[in-house]
Amino acid sequence: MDTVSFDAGIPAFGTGVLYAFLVTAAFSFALAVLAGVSPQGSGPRLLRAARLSALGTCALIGLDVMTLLYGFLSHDFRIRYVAHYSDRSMPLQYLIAALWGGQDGSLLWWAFLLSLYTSACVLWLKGRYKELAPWIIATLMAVVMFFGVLMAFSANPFAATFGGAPPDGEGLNPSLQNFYMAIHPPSLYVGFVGCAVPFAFAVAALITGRLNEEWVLATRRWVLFAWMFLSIGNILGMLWAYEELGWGGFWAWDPVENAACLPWWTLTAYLHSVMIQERRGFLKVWNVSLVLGSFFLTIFGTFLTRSGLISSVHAFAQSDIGIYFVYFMGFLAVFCTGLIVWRLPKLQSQSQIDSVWSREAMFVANNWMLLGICVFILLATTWPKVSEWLWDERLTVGASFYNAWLSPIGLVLFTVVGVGTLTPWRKASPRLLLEAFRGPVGMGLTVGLVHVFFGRRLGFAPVVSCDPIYDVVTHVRLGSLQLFDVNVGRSLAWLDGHLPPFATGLFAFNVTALAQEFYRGVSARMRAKSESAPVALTRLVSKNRRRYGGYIVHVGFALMMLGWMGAAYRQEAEASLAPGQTLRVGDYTLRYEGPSMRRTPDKREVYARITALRGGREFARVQPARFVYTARPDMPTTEVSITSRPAEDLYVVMASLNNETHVAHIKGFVNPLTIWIWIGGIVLVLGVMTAMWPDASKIAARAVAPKRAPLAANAAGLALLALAGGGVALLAPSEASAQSSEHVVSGGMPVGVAENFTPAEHHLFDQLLCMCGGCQRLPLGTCACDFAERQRNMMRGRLASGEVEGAIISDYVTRYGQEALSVPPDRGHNKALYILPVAALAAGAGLVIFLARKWARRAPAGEAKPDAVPAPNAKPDTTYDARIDEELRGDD
Amino acid sequence: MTTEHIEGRDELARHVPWIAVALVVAVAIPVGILRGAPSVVLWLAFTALASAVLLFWEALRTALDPTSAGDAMDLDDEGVPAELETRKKAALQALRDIEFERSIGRLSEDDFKALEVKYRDEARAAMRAIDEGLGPWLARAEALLATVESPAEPPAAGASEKAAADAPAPRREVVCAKCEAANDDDAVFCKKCGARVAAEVSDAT
Repeated sequence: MDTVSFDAGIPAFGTGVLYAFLVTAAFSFALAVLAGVSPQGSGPRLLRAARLSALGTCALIGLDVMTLLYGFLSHDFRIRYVAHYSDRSMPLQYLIAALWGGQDGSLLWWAFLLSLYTSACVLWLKGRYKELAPWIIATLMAVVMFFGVLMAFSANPFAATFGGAPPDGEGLNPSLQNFYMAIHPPSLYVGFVGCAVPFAFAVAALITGRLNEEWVLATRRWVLFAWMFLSIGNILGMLWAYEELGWGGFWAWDPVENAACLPWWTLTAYLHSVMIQERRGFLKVWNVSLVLGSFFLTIFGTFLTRSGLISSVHAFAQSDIGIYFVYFMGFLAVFCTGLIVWRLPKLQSQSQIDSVWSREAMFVANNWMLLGICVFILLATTWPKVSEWLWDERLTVGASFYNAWLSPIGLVLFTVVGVGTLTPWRKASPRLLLEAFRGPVGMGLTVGLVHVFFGRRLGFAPVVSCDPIYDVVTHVRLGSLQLFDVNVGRSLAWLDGHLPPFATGLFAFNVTALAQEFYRGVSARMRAKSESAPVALTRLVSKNRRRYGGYIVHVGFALMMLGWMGAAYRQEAEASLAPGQTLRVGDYTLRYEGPSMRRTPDKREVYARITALRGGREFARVQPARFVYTARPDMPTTEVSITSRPAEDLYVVMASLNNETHVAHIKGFVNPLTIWIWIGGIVLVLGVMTAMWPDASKIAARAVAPKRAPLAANAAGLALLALAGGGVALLAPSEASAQSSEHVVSGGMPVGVAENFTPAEHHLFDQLLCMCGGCQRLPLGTCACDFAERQRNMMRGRLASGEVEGAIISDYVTRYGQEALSVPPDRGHNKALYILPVAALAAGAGLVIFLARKWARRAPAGEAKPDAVPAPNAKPDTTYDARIDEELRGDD
Repeated sequence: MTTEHIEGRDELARHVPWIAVALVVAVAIPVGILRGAPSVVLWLAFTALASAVLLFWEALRTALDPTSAGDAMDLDDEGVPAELETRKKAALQALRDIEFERSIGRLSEDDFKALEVKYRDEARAAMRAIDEGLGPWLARAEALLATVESPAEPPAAGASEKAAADAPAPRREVVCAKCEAANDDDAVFCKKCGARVAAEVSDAT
């Protein structure tokens, strides 16, 4: 714990407020629990008091954030956090971004966002879900308490600087001084923290035993909101990596990226399976577990990011907060499991579906795939730590492992998505099913075959070469019986290499299926109500927002898959160029004209002026740059230049520039279809907003309680549109003008040698990781740092002199340890890394088929109602038909 | 206090958060223009502190004063077994689904007919069970309505319906003239059909 002298002004005040809100959160928690256990008598009074004091706690957290922000704005370097993450030259927007730039501040930011959610939820709760309300407030306050304890005892953002205030701060990490970094963590946190509200509802439902669809309906918009921001946060993270890290890709399977996407998978699964609960009243245990699990994963993600457990680009700080997280996660796991086990009798339900060929069954299948991928990523992310703990063996699981395994699994998911779109709710007759599948399957096959036969001519070869991630022959034995030999690495590489035509075919299949779905809906309306096409489309969507909003999300998802597939066709080249020399990458010729330089108050900007030629004609002028910040001269940032077109991006990086000779080390990438990831992301967000958009007529019709949530949703939607708009505007790379010239880092490569990696080099570099310590353990082939460049040159030399790959690798591993390998070797316990999830996926597929058949078979017998309704089918009964019709019309 | 007063207070209370936010923003903008960002931050910090103090004052007052009014905790759907309500909603959703699937040509006419019969039966069964479950409540509501005619003790705010059922001096209820749903005595509009009911309770004190 830090000692704070009490004449220290802002630091002492901030710390005081920190303790204050910790106390008031505990107070609100106690009030809420008391209200919950005594609904009669003093209950209502205590609930009101709990509500008010929860709001007060939120106000105190707000006060604390404002205090810290004032510390930043007034450059109060007595606060260690302020001194560490800002300096006097930083502009306002980065001073604000510094609030969440470091560990202690980001915990406060977490608590602040939680307080915003809590206030919104508490205000919204007034007068509704009265039995759940005390427990919701108690749960949220308990989470606030956890973060309060964390900050008070381990990571106080107001801790004082040792030895008095320095004259100037150290400045924010330059790679964080970037537009996307300013908005990516907040939106990811908004998604992360948003999982707390559904979690609180689920806990409240479990505690009170009100486990019907009430809490599900209550949390629908909250879940969608959180899901939307999780998606946006992850997409912005990709955009940040693409724009800022300068290695040509957008997703490195960095542990922190993985942590950020884990809750996304479980929440996506929940969004689908909850529809079955609403319709069928079963999968209750499953749904409640998914919501509890999603929240658990957000805490786990914050733990990974902030405890420095797994070293990565994001884990900027290491401290002792890890153990608090471990305790909290342990408590959560025990508490959640205990609650579910306790309520199991109430969660059980008669399960039945009309047919295996129904959307219900497809949703169960899709759930399994989503959860399987989640488990896969979770296992691979934590494996290095498990290995270190159990066998004292340090390892790294690099991007090539994930890419190799998840590409085929992802395509299976993509198939299920398409099939699910085409399968109707309840039941499908073979004839109509055939009719529905005819178009999309035909289209998918056509596009796939076109890819196979004409792909090479169009620049998208049907078979791409994939390097095997392992090259070990495994003997599969049953007892002493030798069954067969399998080379997992080579088989997988062969499979991955043949996937592109399947990917394009599935893309066409999915998009056609979705288009057909819209077309059918519109034409049915046009026929039935004789509306014009635009009117029919608008009404169709507005009357079935969830369905068609979901379809729009799927369009976005399909576009993103297309962009991911494009990454298989990435081309790259690098060279050290003197002014006037050229480098070829793909169809482009990059001519290096010379360096230029610009000074701003806080940094020097060094540019390489390059003319990109295509087909002999000038295509674009690009200016990749390095920015050297005054406060952190040792950490120059790479400012890439991206020229986007629908077919491909030209992506140019300047790795280094020699002061005397003006020789620049330039890397060029051609990234096909990457822009579709961002476009898909925007479509996806629009889809969620469609699904979330409140229905004005329904609100008016519901006279039971005033709804304020839609207002909040509206405001959020508008804010989001602005955000999305801003994102689009910023997709275009910013070009800066150059004035004087000066030079920075020097490169060590022979001048003018264009370096397209040979296949052997590629294979070698992809198996090894850059161990410079500063970068984020990218593959040696992609890292743009000096260390990687030196290593590559050295290895090139050894390869050229006829050394075998194995020797070079084993030398590298001897020097830097097992963790320098991008994929753990395929032997011993490391086999579990892929055998476990793949076996789980296969077993799950079996389980899904078994369950679906069981539920479907039960259907005919399920006609007899379990409840004791007097003679339900004694005579043709029409008493309620009018009321049923009325209800159906009313909700249409 | 009259019903109108309580209504007015509630109406105001409902808008307090929005009014507060509007005020905070209205002051923040000129402060930002005239004095710069740090002053805005100080202003926001001040409002956060002030609202925290006010909220805790009110919270403590409510918690410690046994006569203060709390949140009503009685439930809208008490008396309707939640399981039945779920089953009814699921059956109606099923009817809606199959109708939609048929309209876009995904469900054959035969399948539709079979499923429609099945889910109509289910909806009917659930609705009947709900109505039967509500029977005693309706009878009680009518009995309670009869007591409204004679002047009685003002109902303790926040007393639940359960308490009302057991206690000798029950909370009064107002039956909607249009749909016959039982409403709380301070209701202005019927909670079921939305028709105005407040006019009929002018004698409430």
